[in-house]
Amino acid sequence: MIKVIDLSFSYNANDEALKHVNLEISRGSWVSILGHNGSGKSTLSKCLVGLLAPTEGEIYIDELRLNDENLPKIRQKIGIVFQNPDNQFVGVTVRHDIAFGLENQLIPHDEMEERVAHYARLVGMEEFLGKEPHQLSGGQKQRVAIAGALAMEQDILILDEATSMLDPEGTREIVELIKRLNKELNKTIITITHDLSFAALSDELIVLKDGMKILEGTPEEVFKREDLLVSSHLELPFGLKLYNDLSKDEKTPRHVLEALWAFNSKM
Amino acid sequence: MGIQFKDVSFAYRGLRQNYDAISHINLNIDKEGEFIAIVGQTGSGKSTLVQHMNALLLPMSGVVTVFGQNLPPKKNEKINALRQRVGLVFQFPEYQLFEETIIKDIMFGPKNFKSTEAEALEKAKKAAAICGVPENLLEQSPFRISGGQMRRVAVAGILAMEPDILVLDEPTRGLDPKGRRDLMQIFQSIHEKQNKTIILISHDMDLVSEYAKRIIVLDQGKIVFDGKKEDLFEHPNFESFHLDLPTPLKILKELSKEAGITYQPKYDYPSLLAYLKEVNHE
Repeated sequence: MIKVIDLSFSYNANDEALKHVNLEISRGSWVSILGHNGSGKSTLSKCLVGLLAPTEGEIYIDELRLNDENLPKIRQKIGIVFQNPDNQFVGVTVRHDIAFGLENQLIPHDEMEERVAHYARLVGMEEFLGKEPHQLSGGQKQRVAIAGALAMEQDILILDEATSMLDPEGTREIVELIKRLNKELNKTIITITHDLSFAALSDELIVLKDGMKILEGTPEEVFKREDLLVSSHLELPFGLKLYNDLSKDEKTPRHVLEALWAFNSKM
Repeated sequence: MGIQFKDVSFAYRGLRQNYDAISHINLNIDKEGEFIAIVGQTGSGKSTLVQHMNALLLPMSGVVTVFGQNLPPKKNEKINALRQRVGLVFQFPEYQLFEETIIKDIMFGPKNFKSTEAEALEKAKKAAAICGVPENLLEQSPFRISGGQMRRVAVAGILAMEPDILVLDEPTRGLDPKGRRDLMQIFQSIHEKQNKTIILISHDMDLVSEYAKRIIVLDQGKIVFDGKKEDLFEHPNFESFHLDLPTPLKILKELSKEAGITYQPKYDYPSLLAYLKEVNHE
């Protein structure tokens, strides 16, 4: 369970990146935090993992307040994967990269090997353990980064625009993996994105604009506020926008709308 | 004139072996009036291909000719002249901003190509206006603006060189939907008003289908399709290209199958909506 109370953050005196944000994320859910470039969504994710210290407000992870004293315990609960697969590959090989966090935690060697093998298998990279980063695609590198985070066995995983640098194939790989982590391993997933078709897959959406929370709810609820989304520089998924626009036209036959609805549900 | 590739191949050198990046490329690009998208999976050679267009990479075999000049030219200064004519915007170009102020950053290109201070300033102001960089920002640091604005400043820096051909490597990657649309509108208007050739690398098939007239498909370093977009999406081997269909076409295919609507290709949202309304009103 994550609880954010009246959180503000400023990078410098005259510019607030986050303004009095309140939110709750329940255990086992998949929440997407949406917003335009510069809306504060990445700042929020960095506050959640303790990479940035809030200017004001409080963050609780499982009742534990995020502060210097509790940070080591918090880091055992929450992990993060960033946008650029090349910037976070620190090992010489896939094996070393997945083991990196474990080495820092002084995990015994045998257990480390076990965990590396287990999580490499989980993300479908078990046959690549000896490979070097340049031999991997972007999607594969992101899967390794996710395996590295999973190996720490935290309950909460934040993916900060983890698919935005991938091609459609790589994106599909990661989306499938996120679904499994959430549904089968019961991980709490927080995805940071400005892609509403991707966000539509999650249980709940939180929309930020200029550092403030302006909307939250299920995808269905949030997508009803097209006006607010557009003013936040976001766009409804193509098929849903078409469905809405055609619904407004009374001459659109019912079976056309139904076919379009079915199409959207498959996406 | 424009850009020609004749049987061009390039490989990156590895420790033990070379990695073929593009092989036996033949290509002809007009100096004016084209809007070309280069598509293909990650690692298919798209970036390698476009880096040959302004001599950042030189072919290992074959000949690249840019505005009548074979590469590499004998004199280095000719490479400079050519780089001014073919402006290349890299992926995440905002990482290359470095000056104290936005206006100085945009002026850097033209000054390098021997414009005087006054000329460079004029060109930079013009490019900033085209890219929608507000005048009151010009004296500010390029590191104090939003990601979308930084991207536009970086693009303005290339436009200020007044290139004849504009090459864009994933220009909208990482931008929010509004930022993406604004930037594409800038390219579209440069293309329409100045009749400049635009070459765009993208994974976003919706964007490609909306803006490009001609599409080049790369697969493992080879051109597997080069032609009009209308022909690509109806191509009998389309599946073998490993590309997604653009969303409007996916929807039309579905509606023709499930709702009896006549399939007629539409490449962007407004024309799809207009078509469906027209059919429904009949």
